[in-house]
Amino acid sequence: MKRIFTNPDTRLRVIKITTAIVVFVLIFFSLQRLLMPKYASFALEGGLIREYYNSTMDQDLILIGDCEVYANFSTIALWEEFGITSFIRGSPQQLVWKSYYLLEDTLRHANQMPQVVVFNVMAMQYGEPLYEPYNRLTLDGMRMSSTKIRAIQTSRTEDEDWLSYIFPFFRFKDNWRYLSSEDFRYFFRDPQVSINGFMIRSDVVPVSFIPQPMPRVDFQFSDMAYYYLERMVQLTNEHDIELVLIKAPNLFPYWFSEWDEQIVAFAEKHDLLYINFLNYQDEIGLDWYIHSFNAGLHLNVFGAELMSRYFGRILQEKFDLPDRRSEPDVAAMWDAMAEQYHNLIRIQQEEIASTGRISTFLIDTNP
Amino acid sequence: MLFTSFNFLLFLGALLVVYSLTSKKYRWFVLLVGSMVFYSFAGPFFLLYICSTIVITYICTSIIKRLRIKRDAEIALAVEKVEKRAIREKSKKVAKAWTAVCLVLILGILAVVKYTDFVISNINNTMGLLGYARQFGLLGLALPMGISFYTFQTVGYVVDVYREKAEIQANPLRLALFVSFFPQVVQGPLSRFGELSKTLYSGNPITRVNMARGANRILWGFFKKLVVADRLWPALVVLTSYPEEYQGIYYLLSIALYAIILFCDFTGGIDITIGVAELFGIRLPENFNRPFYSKSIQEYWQRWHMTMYHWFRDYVFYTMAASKRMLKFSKSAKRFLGDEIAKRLPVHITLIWVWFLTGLWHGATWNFIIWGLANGIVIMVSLELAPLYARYNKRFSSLTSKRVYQAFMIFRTFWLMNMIRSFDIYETVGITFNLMLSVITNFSLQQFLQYGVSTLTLPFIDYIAAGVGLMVVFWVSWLGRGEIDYRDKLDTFKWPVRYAVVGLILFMTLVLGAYGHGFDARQFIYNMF
Repeated sequence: MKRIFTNPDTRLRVIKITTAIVVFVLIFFSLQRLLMPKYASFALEGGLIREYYNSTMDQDLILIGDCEVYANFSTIALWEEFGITSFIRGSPQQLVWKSYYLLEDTLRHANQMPQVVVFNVMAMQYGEPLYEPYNRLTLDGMRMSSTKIRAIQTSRTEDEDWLSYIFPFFRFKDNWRYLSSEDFRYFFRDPQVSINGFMIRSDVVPVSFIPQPMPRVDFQFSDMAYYYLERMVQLTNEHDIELVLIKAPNLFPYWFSEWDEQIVAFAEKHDLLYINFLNYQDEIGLDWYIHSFNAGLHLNVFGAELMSRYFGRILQEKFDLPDRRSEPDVAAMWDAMAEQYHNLIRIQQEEIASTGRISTFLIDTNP
Repeated sequence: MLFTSFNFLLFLGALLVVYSLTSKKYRWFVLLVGSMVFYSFAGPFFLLYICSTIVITYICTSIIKRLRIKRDAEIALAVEKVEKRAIREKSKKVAKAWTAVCLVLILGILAVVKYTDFVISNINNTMGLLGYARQFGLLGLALPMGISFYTFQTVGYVVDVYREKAEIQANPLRLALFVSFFPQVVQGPLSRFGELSKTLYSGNPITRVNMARGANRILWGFFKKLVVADRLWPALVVLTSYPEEYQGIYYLLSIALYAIILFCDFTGGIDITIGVAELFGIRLPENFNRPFYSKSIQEYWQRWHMTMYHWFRDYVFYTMAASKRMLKFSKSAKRFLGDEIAKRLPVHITLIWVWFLTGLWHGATWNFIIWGLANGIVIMVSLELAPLYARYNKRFSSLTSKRVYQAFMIFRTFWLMNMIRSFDIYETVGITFNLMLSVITNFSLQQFLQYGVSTLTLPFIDYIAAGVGLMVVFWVSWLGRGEIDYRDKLDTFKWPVRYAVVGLILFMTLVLGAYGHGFDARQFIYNMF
């Protein structure tokens, strides 16, 4: 070591190599940042998972699952109505193992453990990794950790290589063909696509027809899906967290009674609360002609607010979730978010009134 | 395991670590184990073929070695010159027989796996033409990785042993390393035992200089393969898959594109090969010397795939052209054809035979055979016209010495080679001839002006990327003029410039390279030979 600093040749060589490595790393990560999708004008769902790390608040409620979670539950409605602090860790086609690892990731980053974790069981029907693009929308948003590495190993399909998940540069390097001003605009900061994981859609596309369910022979959930659901139970037990299973309301894809029976049995076995909201749609007040932005697949913000009010009441009654509206620091942050929330809804409503469609989806859009 | 795969880089890194941690004495053994592991990735079953070649070669050359020891002992005891000569002759005869046995066996393996189906399908076709309904089934044998390369390299070694130009390797494992050395087993270059053994077994340490130069060369190979060859490949696939749609000017585009792709693919692969060997301090022969600057086909072949050219020259051409049988034939031909022609006849016959074999070596199809023969015929005609050229050059020396004329010669050779090479890329010889004709009969200029290259599936921006890459390739080629290694030229720059150039090539490869998601990892073209 001493020789390195006394011999001028060796010293120069060390300086040269160090400089080269530093410059390489800087350029590599800058290129990676530039070429990765920003999810600001298309596939905004890809930005959902990363937003959790920007939040400095502790949450009492965590909702985990696929699109039926991030579209159907308004975190602001839960706050405004009940003072429940919540965060949704959901992304498109979030299969059970991805949900498990996201839960692990969420708890790892939480200063204070949530009291309740809600898991939407729709994804139980899938028993193996499916599509790379959906994997990307979930996994690329996760911060690097041993949890992420295990999530990659479990989620990737045969054709996917793990290296491109560690360094997404290798997946998105060809985006140089499609670089736009957006890539430079969001080089240093990510666009905000949700309010604590909830994506706001205030447009209405009423249901016009309900597709028939695909005929099936086998209704049994796979061992893999059960394994990760079991692990979710185990993880929440370890942290003394209540796990609630739900089936969010929708008109399609179809939720078979055979599936429901399996979840009921699972919940009974593990002494969990399971609510199939498909059975309470009238009680909630859902009208798929006005409460969906995609013809019955997901709720729009107005439907999500109804859903959240209904569910919030149950959660508060069953688990005694605290009303934090009286805590000034928490309230200040949540009220600021609520303002952004209502602001975006207002912008979207104005756009609908003037053009018939919405074009603003980002939270941090100036009116 | 593709050279351009991440697995290969991992394998290489692991091997370098093990190599550097092993004592000098056993480093060659680490390389042998690494080579076998590398080869087994192509299919463990293929190890049987390469091991058979090694075992056969070892047994035959060991017998020859024993014969030599016995011969030398007998000569030492012999008193008379005549007696010594007789011992030598007898020993040579037996050695020749064992050499022949060895060559028949190892070339037999190549012939069986590579050419059986070609022979069967030709028999079937002939029988069909003669009206016989019976057809023989094809064997469908899988071609072991690099079999043409390691077989030829081994043949070279066996012949050199017979000619007493190469030392006989007594250690079968060391011989195995010579045959299977992993960087070159895939696509050459074809090394000579005498040359390669100087560094292959020396257990050279991994030095900073070797690492830097080797890595630089590997990077350059990756650049050519990924940024230019593989990026342009999809366009060539479209052009050659629909020959009825892409004729005339598109045919010219196709053969020019193939020239660029083949050059970047093959030289890129060789750069990686040489670079990998350099990391271990092993020197492999160069295989290219800026072939597209050639002014004749003959010159082209002295600059392209040079080790193969030298192999055919040394082991087939000279052997056959100078054989007693050929000289006898030349002598007897004198009576009918006259002195001049009879003198040149052995050269021409051998030339055509060599190019027939070269074509056959490249692939068991008529396309390659016609390709080989076309090369041979052009070279033969050039040789015949050489006196005429000489007179022309003398008479018009003011014109022929001009740069424009030199450029014209380069341009002419480039396109002539492209035309010949087009037999490689189209499905049948008939299609190729039709397309050659289409340059006159259906130039398709209107189609080209209307659609350009937009129908070739490749986005226009990809052509720009590959074009930029190609400019870099030409720039480096220009740096390396006068047979100077471009890395030596690069070393003359100050370190920030040097590092910037290497960094630029690295990032261009990383960003513009056709690899990863959305691209099919494509094998090197010469891996298929």
